[in-house]
Amino acid sequence: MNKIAELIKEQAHALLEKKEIKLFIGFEKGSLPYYSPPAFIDDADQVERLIWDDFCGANLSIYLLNTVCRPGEKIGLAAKGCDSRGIQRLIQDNLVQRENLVILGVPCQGMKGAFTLSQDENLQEIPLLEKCLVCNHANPITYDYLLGEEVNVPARDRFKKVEELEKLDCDDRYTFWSGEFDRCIRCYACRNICPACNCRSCYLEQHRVSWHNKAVDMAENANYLMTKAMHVAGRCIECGECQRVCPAQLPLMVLNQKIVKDLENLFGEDSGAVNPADKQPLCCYHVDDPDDFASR
Amino acid sequence: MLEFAGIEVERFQTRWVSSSEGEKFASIIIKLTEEITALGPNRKYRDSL
Repeated sequence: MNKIAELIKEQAHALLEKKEIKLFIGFEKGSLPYYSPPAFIDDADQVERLIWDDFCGANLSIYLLNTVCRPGEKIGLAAKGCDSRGIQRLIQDNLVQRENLVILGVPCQGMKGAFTLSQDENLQEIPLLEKCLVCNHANPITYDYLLGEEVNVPARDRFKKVEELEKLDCDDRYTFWSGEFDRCIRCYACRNICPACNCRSCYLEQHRVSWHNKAVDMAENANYLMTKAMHVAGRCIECGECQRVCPAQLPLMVLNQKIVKDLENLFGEDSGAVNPADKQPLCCYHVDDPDDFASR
Repeated sequence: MLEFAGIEVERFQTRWVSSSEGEKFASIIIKLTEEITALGPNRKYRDSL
């Protein structure tokens, strides 16, 4: 871990000093030992703030949406597998140009995280983030410099929870989901942190149309959460940030992965996800798209 | 998604009808209305109303 931190600091320093980038996005130590929040460094003297440890689970690609690059300007960032998929999503959505990025790829075997640690809990006992337990992209899919060796991670079954729920009958599913939706507080952290949620005008901010009732009750929460899942359908990169940041710890990835599973059954695996030139399955039409609904 | 969230799948069905197939459209609507009425009013996800 420390070797990677040194490599990051070295590269970031070199890039900032040569003015090749105007900003570097990495991680720094936060107020508690298990917080490693994102760091934004625009001065080569500040690179000592950069770290790399077990708690660097956040997806940095979302912060590219807040930065404006004029032609010729570049931003550097450290990217794990999930970060690189987020970057790919933004490139495919035409919100970021690849030429404006310098990516330090870091292969990752999983990050840990906790909201709070009680007095008798140990730092070492903090578990891996749930999103890391089902990650199939341990190595960055795009980078300019690769820091560290690529890792070999066995393929994981991402759809286990989805399949468990699919086996239940519909009333049991309703009991499960209504219990979860009831706990949502509509803080919209899931929307704010999601790289695929990058509409310039989000429907939630169209107050005059009032797509949702503002009441925070189970039915409206269900409305919001299911609508958000549908809005990112086909574009979700399964980075799991929504679930990580949710203060109510809702199983949001299960909703998103249900859609991913259905799309994989219909359109094939990883379609539009890895190669930047590919289109997402729901964003384009092919003559041989499945259409059995038409035969009824 | 709605089926996954626990709503009976018979409550929303898709058919492909052209605007010029009036009779087919009418008979589909009548049949679906009967099927859904037989399921009874939906009580799920309704506490805002």
